[in-house]
Amino acid sequence: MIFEMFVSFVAVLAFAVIFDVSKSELVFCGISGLVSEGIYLMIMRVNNEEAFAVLLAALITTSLARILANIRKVPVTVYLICAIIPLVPGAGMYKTVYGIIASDYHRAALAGIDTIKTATEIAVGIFLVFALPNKIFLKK
Amino acid sequence: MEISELMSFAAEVGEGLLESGAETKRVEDTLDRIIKHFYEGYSETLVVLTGFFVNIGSYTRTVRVQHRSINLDKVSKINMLSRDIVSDKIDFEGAVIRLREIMAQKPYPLWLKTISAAMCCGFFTILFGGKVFDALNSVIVGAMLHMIIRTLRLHKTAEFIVTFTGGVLLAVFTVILYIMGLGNNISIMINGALMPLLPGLAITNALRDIIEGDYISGGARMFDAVVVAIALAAGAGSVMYMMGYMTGGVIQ
Repeated sequence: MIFEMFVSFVAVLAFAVIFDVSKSELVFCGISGLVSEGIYLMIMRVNNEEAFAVLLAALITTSLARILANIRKVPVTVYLICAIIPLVPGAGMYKTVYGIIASDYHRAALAGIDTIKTATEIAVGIFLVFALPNKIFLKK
Repeated sequence: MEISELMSFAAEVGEGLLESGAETKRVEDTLDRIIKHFYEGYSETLVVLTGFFVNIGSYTRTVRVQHRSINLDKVSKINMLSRDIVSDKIDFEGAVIRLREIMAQKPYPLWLKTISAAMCCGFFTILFGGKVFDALNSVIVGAMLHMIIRTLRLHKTAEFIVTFTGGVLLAVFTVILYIMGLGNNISIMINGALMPLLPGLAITNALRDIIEGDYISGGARMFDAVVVAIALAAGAGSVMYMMGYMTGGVIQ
């Protein structure tokens, strides 16, 4: 798991460079990616409950992104996008469309519902944290 | 300072933010704060996804943002500039000069971005359970794709065409390298290589706009993200299906 967290750190850091994140924020972007992947893997290992894993990872990393944004005085988007990218269901999306093209509707439906579920969970996680007032995330 | 000067400054700030990938609420908020700081009278701003209106006193200006790209560094720097203006750390002339510096600033060089795109693809492939050679395949595909997509974007191709071409070429390159003997698991390699093309920023901004209650921009961004995602998956999926058909199911 430590190895996978390190891999996601490097992957997200490289991802941040594509979006022109400034040099001083790159490491924090990598850390957001590491935390999100770490939480996801940890919960998957404990009880193999994907819904819970994605939701909790989204909740915690969105909070982390808001705290970091307040400390570093940078738009929260910078950290948020790096935090959620390891959770985004790119593979599910591909499987859904492939299933539709190959007329394998059973597989397409399974993958499609799974993709929508994961995407909704990420959205709900972000929604819930942004519903909280900014005061909570300010540095004391 | 004349109102027209303030107007041009506000228009430049808004354009810089909107074309670099800031969410609608941030653009509106920043413009409001800057204008209210320099001008006491009536002022109003309305920002949508593809342009904005600024109203100061009896003057109005409409700015259409034609081309959008992603440069989060610019967004953070303009954000910092507006914070400094509101807390009186910088006067109007200083702000104009600093904005000009921010807008003229170069993004990361092409070679660095290409290497990053390649690394991103490779490491995500490993994360999805690929082996070293699968990752190597994704690294090569990622680097080539980044350069091709950048060229397409420089010629201002429609975003749908860019992503669809990206999806098609991604599958073609991956399969060619696979036939040459690099990598084992095609579906993992494709999943890894499409990570940098995913509309992550569009989704994040869409959600944030919807949270703020700005359904026009939020809905438009959400639709943008869905179109990009479908174009990408359709491009890769159709190539893979044809490959499977031509090879009798050996490659799928």
